[in-house]
Amino acid sequence: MRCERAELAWSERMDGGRSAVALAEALDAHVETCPACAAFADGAQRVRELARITVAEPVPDLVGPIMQRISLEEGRGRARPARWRLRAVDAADIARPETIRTDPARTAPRPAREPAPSRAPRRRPRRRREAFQLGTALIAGALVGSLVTGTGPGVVTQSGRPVPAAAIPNRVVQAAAAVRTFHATYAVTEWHFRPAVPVRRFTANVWFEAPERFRLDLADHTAYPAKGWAGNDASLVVNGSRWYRSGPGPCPMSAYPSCPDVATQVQRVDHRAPFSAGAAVPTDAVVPVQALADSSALHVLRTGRVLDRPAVEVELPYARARPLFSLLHEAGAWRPFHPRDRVHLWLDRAGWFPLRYVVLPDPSPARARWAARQGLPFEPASSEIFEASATALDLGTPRPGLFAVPRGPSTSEGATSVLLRDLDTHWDLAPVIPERTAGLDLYRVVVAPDPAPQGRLPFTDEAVAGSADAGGAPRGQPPGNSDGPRAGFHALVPPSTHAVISYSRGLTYLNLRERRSTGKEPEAFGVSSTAEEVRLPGGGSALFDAGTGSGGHHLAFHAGRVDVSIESNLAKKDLLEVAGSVAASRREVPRTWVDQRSHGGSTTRVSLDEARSEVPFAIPLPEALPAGYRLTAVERVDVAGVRGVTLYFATETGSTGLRLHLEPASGLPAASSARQYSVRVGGATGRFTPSRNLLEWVADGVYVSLDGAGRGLSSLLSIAASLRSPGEAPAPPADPARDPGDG
Amino acid sequence: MQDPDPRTLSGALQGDLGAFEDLVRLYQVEVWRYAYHLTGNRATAEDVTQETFLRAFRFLGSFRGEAKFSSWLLRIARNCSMDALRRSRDIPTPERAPIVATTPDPSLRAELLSAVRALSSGHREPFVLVEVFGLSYQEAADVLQVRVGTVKSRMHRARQVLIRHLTDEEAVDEA
Repeated sequence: MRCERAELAWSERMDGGRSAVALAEALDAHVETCPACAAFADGAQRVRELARITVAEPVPDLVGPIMQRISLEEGRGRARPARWRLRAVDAADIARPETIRTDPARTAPRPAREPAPSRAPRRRPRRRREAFQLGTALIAGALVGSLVTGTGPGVVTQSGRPVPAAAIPNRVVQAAAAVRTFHATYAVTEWHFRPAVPVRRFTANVWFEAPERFRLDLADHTAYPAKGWAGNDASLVVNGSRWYRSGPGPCPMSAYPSCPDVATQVQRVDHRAPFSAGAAVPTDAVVPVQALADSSALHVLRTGRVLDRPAVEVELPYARARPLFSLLHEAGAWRPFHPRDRVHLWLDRAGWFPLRYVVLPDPSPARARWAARQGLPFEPASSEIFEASATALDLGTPRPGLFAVPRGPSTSEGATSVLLRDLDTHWDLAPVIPERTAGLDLYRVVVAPDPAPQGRLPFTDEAVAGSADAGGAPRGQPPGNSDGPRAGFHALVPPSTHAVISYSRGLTYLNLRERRSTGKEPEAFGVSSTAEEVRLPGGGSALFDAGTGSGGHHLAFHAGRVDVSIESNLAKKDLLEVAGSVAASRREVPRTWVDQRSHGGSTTRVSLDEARSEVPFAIPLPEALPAGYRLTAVERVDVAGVRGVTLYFATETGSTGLRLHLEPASGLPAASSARQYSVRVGGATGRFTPSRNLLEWVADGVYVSLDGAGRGLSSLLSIAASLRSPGEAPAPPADPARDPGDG
Repeated sequence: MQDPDPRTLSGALQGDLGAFEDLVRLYQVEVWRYAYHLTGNRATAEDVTQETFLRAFRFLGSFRGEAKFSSWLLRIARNCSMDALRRSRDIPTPERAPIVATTPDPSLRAELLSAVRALSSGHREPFVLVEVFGLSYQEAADVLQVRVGTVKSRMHRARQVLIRHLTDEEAVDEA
């Protein structure tokens, strides 16, 4: 008996199938002597045992609503509209999101009835009861309506026009450009901070005024068990070039309550560069542009109303939602979340503000092991472990003085505001000005030192006295005292500085950073050496790095005597338009930006066709990549006389990249980690290193490595299985259980 | 899934609302669970369950007894689930089943459920009907409107995939 037939017969037997005695005996004999079939039998039994354990998820009692609908339909002779539901609600339901859903605890099960005798149904008494129930429900529904329009965090689900997930990123970007002012108050609840503090409660007030005024006041209402526990009262104020933060000092969660320093710590930054990443504004708290940039990570759950405003609920993994939480993580200590924990986010349909967001644990075994290492208790997948609900929303003009930054000792980012017309005077170079700015307005112009300055930093509070930024400067004229000591100032500016011309509209920004250039700088300006090379409209090329959760996209190009690096949260196509509108940009990317040399070897940027002609082995490409990934760069790698090739794959939405490397070899290199294990990759024995998300194997004399931050073994194996060289037969139909997108 | 009392079914077929309510009580949990398996969303499963019984009530006269009542009802639930998925126009986000703390190796069970949801619908549906709900091949074929042989081969294939998934996950755990 062949294995394929034996497995099929065994599977049928498990499901109650009967076969002839002789066949059954042959099957038993085969399974007893065949290790593979015995393993199948054992595995099938384990699958059955796991699948048939009663699932503990609460099943709603829907008998009442079902019978009400049927009774009404029968009584009125027509079907009710699909979205109409009958349910008794009370005020206690308002605090919970699913107020239309039946609560099993509130619907008492009725005792089983005796079968009715065969006669006409008794409808008259039932109608009186139904009418009473209907009346009660309508009254309760009116009560629900009146309370939801108040200030509670009530959420009401309802059928509404659905929102395709693919449309959300664009809508959010448009909303970000349109927002001018914003104020929301959130009730925040966090579970399982520490065993002695299972629940913490906060109030967070968030204000924003375009382009760069922001304020967060976080008040901790938790009753801690003892004096030594540091509360999480915190404040963040940003007003253009000034940045201020106060809150408890850093303390690992595991160290509580014995934190080394519980005193409030204050940080101030002056001369802050526009849209500085070092002193950032958590803009996703206003409109979550970064969190919602990747529609493939979004799932639309339903529509409804929050704070009596039309809203839509989406789900995304915490790994993508992190920018939304940066607001709170600005100060104090918070419990950790796993990257695969789920975030359910309610968004205002008009302005795309976050109205409510909760975190739910991922139920995977990896998450359970992670939680154990973090010292967290068991957290069921259906239990919220974090909640932030808006209790008030106001889009009016903030009161004067709200964004005043308290004075005190500060550090300087060294960015000095200047007027655009004076920039060439300060910098001894004509600045590069784009003709098109995607509708954004000029916001600030600064001169800032290079990250590795050649001379002393010239900027002190005294040197730029009078440049206090109270936010009163009109648009187009950066705040600052342009009548100040210009000559002395110019003398203080070291040669290695760069200019930043900043544009903005709402939350959308565009920073043009410019540096003097010889065209032979050894590294790209503001982008990685493996950034994607793109063509610019009108000619020339640039390097593009998609933004990550902590920053916008980066685009770098050479423009004669100046190198330009653009950082922006505009869409890629808009960024290319801006760069293309710079006349001097119609040049090719300097080769020194992408080719690296060292004493050990070199990497050279090549095209895929060039690489295929320059290496002695076939270069396969994956036929199955996670959604949105594509080939962005190819490098020829020459090390110690061995020539290999590295291919880079990335998305345009900042997801972590994938890297595929190939070189001639007869065996795997030395282990790079103490924790590795063998895996089968096709017909070869390979190696998986979890700490590096690295899969390696050798096939046909070629060493292959595939890695990507956050990629699990299943995902890497799926991608590896889909590798095909030109002319090779297509891959077999995809395994239905394998999704290359699985993390 | 148990069969209804013949008198209950007969009464419901004759228009007795009380008898029909008994059928609702008998099957609404299984219908909800089946809808939840197909849609992966609790709220949608509730809607599907209500719609299933409403349709069953409307078209009770068309039930001829050629298949089991439970099979007929699950077929309606399947159609309602497919309608709901088409209306949403988004790939539903499968909600994760909560880990059952009292059962052995709950995390492995949760991993199996995730793997089941990752199966193609052509393999997942017969697996859920046969392995989870205990239907026979014939009953599952009645629900899915396919041949018995198709159910048999898809069950086998689903088992192969899930066994391999469990084996890989255990290899990761042991590393």
